[in-house]
Amino acid sequence: MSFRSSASFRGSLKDLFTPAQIQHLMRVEFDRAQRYGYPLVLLLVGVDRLSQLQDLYGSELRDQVEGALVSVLRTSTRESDSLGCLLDDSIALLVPHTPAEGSAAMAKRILAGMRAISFECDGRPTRITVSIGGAHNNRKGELSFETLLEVAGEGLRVARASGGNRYVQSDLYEFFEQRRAREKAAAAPAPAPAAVASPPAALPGLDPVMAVLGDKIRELFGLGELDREILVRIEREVVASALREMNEQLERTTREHRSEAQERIELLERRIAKLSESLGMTEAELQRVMAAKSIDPGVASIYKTVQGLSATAVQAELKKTLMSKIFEANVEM
Amino acid sequence: MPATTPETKKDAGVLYLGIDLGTSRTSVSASNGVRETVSSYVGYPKDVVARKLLQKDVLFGDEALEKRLSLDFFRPLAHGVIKSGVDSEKNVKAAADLIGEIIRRAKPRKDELVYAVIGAPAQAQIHSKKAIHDAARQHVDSVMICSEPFSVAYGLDMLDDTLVIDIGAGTTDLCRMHGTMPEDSDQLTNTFAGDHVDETLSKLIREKYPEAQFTIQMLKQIKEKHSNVADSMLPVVVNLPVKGKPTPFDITNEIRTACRSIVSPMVDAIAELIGTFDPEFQEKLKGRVLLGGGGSMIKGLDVELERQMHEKLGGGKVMRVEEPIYGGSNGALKIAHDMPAEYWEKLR
Ligand SMILES: Nc1ncnc2c1ncn2[C@@H]1O[C@H](COP(=O)(O)OP(=O)(O)OP(=O)(O)O)[C@@H](O)[C@H]1O
Ligand SMILES: [Mg+2]
Repeated sequence: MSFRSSASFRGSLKDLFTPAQIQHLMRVEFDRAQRYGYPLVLLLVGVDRLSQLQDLYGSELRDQVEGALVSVLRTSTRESDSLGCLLDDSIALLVPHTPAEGSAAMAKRILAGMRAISFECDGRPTRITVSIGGAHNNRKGELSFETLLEVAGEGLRVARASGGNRYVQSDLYEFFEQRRAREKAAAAPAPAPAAVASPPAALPGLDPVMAVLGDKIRELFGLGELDREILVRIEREVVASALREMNEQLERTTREHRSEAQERIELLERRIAKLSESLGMTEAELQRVMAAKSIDPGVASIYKTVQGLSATAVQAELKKTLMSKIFEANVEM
Repeated sequence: MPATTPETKKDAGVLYLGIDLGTSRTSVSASNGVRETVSSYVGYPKDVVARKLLQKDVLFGDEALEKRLSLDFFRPLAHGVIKSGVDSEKNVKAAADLIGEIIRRAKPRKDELVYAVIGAPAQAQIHSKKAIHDAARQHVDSVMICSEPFSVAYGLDMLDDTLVIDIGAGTTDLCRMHGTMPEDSDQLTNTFAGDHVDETLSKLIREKYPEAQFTIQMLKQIKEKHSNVADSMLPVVVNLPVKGKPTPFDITNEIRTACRSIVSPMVDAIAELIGTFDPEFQEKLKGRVLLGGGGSMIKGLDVELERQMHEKLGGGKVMRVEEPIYGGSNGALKIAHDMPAEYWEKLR
């Protein structure tokens, strides 16, 4: 019966667990549920229009709302051993031993709990609502904790997009699971990455291409029936040369871009030089005209020619002493 | 001096600024010919909404005054020194921002060094001078503080046997010059200045025309237009609202009385500074009284002051600074120029 989440929310000084630690605990809980086959649900709860609220009424209100939300979550999941933590702009809540059907009831309690609270914004009572996305582990086939998070996130997005103050269960488990599988395959393209010309990590954009390439080669040579070792060697070489080619191409385009940019910079520099030259000329011309018409460019005031203390100035000696007095007083300061 | 003397070269790449930091107005005279003045008000939007509306992080001068209801509003230089006390930290920031703004308005070029002399009230305590110095240092390459009445006198080459009177908004500052840096005993300050005239005028009008509606800001504008202490002056008739309807009022006598309210305290202060001066030079000092500051624009003030000096001190000659608003900053600019370059460099 612990809501360990409370410790991880921002502003709490008594942090027992960091969000990362709690996420780790969630993962452990999830793995256990998968192993022993008990149901659990994951809810992602986000305050509607939180950033606008914060802009309008300050982060104090944000803290207030989040505090209230935490206590609503706590009462709504009282009987269960739930885990909560802050994820970006929402709160993730993992509730074990709860079937998929139970999550809707729980979400309903949370929505109602928030609606019942009245916040004060600039002296006016204001209702603040939340959106909730849910996911569960009651299904056949592969399921990872990441997918669970993504499905719940998708639900939250849909709930928010349709106006907030609602609960949505998305059903895109398969979609996210497949996408993850594809990404995984793309991340480890070559059978022996060490043998590849340049490490794939340096060229992240090329990884999926490599995967496709591998499939194609396999198809083309009917590799399934050939000697395993030869296969691997052929694949490696093809992959390496393809990589080389792509690398070169990448370099070529970068070079082209760079020289284009360089050209632009030079053009601008030339323009600046030209402009400052003509500015200088204009200034000189202005000076000449002013001199010819004996216009005083200095400060038009009682003290008209501001040009520094010359030996012929009135009371030059006295002024010199006064200047050094002022200077000394300022040095002292 | 023509613009081609060798000294000119010394100025290459340096912009000199003279700054007069006042309670009500801050002015700058710059060696590039720019002269600017801004009311000494600074305001910061109160909240996010105000900031979005005003689209600025900080407002200055009359704009700040106008929008003050949605601003954290500061008049950071009470009596010409950075206000200390409850809000001292915010005041220091407001003062620093104000100094930054007036420097920006002098339009320094990116490639030039900026050297500034700032006139601070003569009686400013060392810590407030330090505060002004630190605030300015963030915006210029080298800065010096000097006494404000001294810079007025320096600008006019009136360094000895002169009595400088700077009539500002909050205070009237008197300072006697006798060929050295003025010291504490050479200075006197009283609060019979522009604000006092405004308040007196307000009181007089309220007594005579209780139905007239006005604000002190309105009266200040009326005063700046019609200020006069002469016995015979053109009648001053102004429109003031009565229950919202503009109604003409003759305030000739009220204007005169209000403007005169600062003269007699001024004569007392003059008497004191002269009375404590070397007897041999008292006559000379009496004969060279120099009026500056916004308040010196009151018409007939020099004549009236002379008349009262004759009555109480047996004589006196009063001159006005030609440009009351820039008298302080022009003088500070001149000091900035006359200051040897190596001093500037040492303070960088
Ligand atoms: N034409 C005028 N007639 C009378 N008073 C005027 C006139 N113009 C400006 N003033 C007054 O001069 C005062 C401002 O003078 P100034 O700018 O010298 O003050 P300041 O230097 O900012 O103040 P302080 O010296 O007290 O720090 C204000 O009270 C203003 O109303
Ligand atoms: Mg002043």
